[in-house]
Amino acid sequence: MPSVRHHPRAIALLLVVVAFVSACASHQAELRIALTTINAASDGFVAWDDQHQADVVAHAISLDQGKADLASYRKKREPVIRIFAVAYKATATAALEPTTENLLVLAADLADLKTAVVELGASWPKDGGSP
Amino acid sequence: MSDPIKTIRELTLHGASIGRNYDVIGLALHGLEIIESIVGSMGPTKAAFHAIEAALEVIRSGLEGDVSPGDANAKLSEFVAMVADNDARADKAIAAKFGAPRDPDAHG
Repeated sequence: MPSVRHHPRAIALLLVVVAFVSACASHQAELRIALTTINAASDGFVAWDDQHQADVVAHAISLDQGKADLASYRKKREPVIRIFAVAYKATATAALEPTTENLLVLAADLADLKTAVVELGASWPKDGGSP
Repeated sequence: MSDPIKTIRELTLHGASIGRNYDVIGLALHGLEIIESIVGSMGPTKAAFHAIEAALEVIRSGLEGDVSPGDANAKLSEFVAMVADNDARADKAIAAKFGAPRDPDAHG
């Protein structure tokens, strides 16, 4: 088998492969951090949502008022659920095609998600979640 | 469970040390910051349960390697189902609190 040392084309090819693998590894790390952040945020959000709805029920003074308050809260919650879906779908797209463009879209979606979660009143990590 | 955060931290660091992978340690600690912040603001029991699940997922995702589209899609389905469960639980609770008649079309 010929030595790589004596074949400039083989060396060039090897460098391209190494660069490609490094880029993929870097993209994978970013993807993992993004997915971990969304997962932790969604787990936290589900727990917060459950507690928040329990609080609405606890403070209700009549059936109609309680139902109206729950409906009102769920209406406000709709965009947050939608943005979680967008962020998960962006993660799936970036996993399928880990291009810089797709990762930038994912980062933007993650920022939107953070804003929506905080605006609703749920928790978001102090420094985490910013890709 | 005396101290969920301590348990999560020990589990996570243990998992990371087994992995011998600094990427995993960074990832796990990042997940921990998120979890600590959520549990810290929410208080005990249910939040702690979700936090432990999330921490274990951090370790698992760190050790399992590449993210696949299926991971994200599966988690989205799980998230939507859990929110629907929350709604059903709250609807049941408000009906029970005020003794509303049972919806004949309701299941479960």
